[in-house]
Amino acid sequence: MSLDVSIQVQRSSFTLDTSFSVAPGEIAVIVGPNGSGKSTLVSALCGLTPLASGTIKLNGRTLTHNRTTVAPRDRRIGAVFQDRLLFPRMTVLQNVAFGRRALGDSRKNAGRAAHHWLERLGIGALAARRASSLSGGEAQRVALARALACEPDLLVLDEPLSALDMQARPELRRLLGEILASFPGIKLVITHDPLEAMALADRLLVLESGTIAQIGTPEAIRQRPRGAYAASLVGVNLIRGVLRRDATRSLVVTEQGAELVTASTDLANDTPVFASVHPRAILLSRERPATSARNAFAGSVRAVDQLDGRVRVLMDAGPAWTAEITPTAAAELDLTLDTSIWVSFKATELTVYPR
Amino acid sequence: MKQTPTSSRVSRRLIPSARIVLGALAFIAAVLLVLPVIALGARAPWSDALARLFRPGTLDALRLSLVVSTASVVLSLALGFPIAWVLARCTFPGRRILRTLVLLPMVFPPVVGGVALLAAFGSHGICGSTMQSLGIRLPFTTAGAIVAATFVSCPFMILSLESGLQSIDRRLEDAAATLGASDWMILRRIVVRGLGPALRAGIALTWARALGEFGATITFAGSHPGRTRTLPLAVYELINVDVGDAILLGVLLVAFAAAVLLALSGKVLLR
Repeated sequence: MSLDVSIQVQRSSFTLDTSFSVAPGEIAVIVGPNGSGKSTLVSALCGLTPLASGTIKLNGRTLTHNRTTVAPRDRRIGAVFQDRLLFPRMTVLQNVAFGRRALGDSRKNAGRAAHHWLERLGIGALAARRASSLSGGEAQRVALARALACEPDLLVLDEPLSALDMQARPELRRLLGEILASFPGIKLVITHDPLEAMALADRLLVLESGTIAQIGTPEAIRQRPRGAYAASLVGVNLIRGVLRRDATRSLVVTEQGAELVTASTDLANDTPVFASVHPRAILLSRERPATSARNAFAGSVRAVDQLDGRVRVLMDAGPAWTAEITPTAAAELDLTLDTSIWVSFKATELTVYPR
Repeated sequence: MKQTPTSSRVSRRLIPSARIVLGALAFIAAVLLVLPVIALGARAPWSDALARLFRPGTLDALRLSLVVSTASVVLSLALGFPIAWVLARCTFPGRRILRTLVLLPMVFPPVVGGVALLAAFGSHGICGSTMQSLGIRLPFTTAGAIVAATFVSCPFMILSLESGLQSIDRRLEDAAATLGASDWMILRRIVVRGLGPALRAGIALTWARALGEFGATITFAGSHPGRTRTLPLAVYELINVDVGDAILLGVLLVAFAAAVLLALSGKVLLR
């Protein structure tokens, strides 16, 4: 019982080349920026886009192997598409009953199953409404009910919350959590939203320009992101470099030649490494810092954003840095574009791990 | 740069002379289009209308017109949908040529259409002798009248259905497939249902064109009472016999067509 994917899909502009497995019980979340191949992946899983090569297996059943393929309707995959794709000329009930009818249920039984799922999702009252007359949140629930009513082996949710306005999200996120927890099959959620990904995932698969850049629990990725997108996902500064050690100290040297001091490490000399610093661990000052911080870089401010009661400052100082400081500190520093600034942090704040 | 605001202002604030010219032309157009219809009603012999209508020849023509126009709508739908589907959904070399060819009867002079039908299915036509040996005879039969009406009206169906098919979101069909629907179920419940207004417009236009069909019918099927003499042909025959009857049938034809158009597609055609 699992989903095993190892596929290459050729699109005019890019190639999706990815391998992963999803076990039953876990909620796997594929997260990636726009254009990373998320929708292509959904389409390939559902059998709507041909593969260049590769294999998709669901619970031991081969759905696609290179060019031989099982038709979309025989895959037992319940997909909730990004645009929902409800049938606009049908009622909500007809939409949800559609799959049961397609599987050969009588009108009565299909209707009963549809009612059951509408009640489950708290939208029993919408049964007779036209699908085209629903709000975003209602349509999302109907799409979910429609997919679930077929009792699929695999449930794929493509951007389940992104089309909703902010007020509708928490309620639907809670419902989604409930539904996913009780769904017995394989669960795959696709999203570009870091918060949604972190909140829902048992395991995160970071998709970047057509390949899986990193797989791990949200906690593992939070501690050791392995790529620019994963780093932005968990909100840390990530630097690529090589470890240089001598008798007295350990340095991370970037490709541009910047040197970052790190606390003692047991990695060997010349190991290619990632180094990460949390934005809140970074201190900013107008003068060269006189503190014990071992790392200090001079640079200038590139952007200043207000964010949830904190101020995010983007700077160019050797590498690019993001710092999060309090509004009071920001006011004292009087930061504007191109302000000269010193970035500093302790050697112990620099987490170093092999690439 | 400021084209949009300027042009919208111009359309509302025309200089007086332009208003007068446009207004006068609009009036002439209205007179030209509406006056004949009013005149038809005004000149109809209403006093003995019922007696005139219930003459055997008239009722035959009415019945025949209903049969022929309805049959050609059914035929146009059965033949037009597949062609519209091929045109809207398939890409192949020669698609545009096929499209032009099947829509051509729309702009044909109907009499030429009738001659063309004779050349194809007449007793000396290229398929005529073969069909005759199989016992199928089209010229000068009711079947021939139906074929002639379908020939000229089917393009309206194809055109409506093609644009209807193009407006359906193909991804709805994908979604239906992932829910387990067979191709036939998708065709029935997503495509045909999605056609909605386009289907109604297609039926209305086809039916109206078939009901008014004259040239191709009289050329290909002749004007035999009870067999091929539909209402328009009857009106034409009656002009030289009894103008009152001809006018009355004309009123009937117009009223009939208007009623069906309103019922079928009031929302579509009369937006």
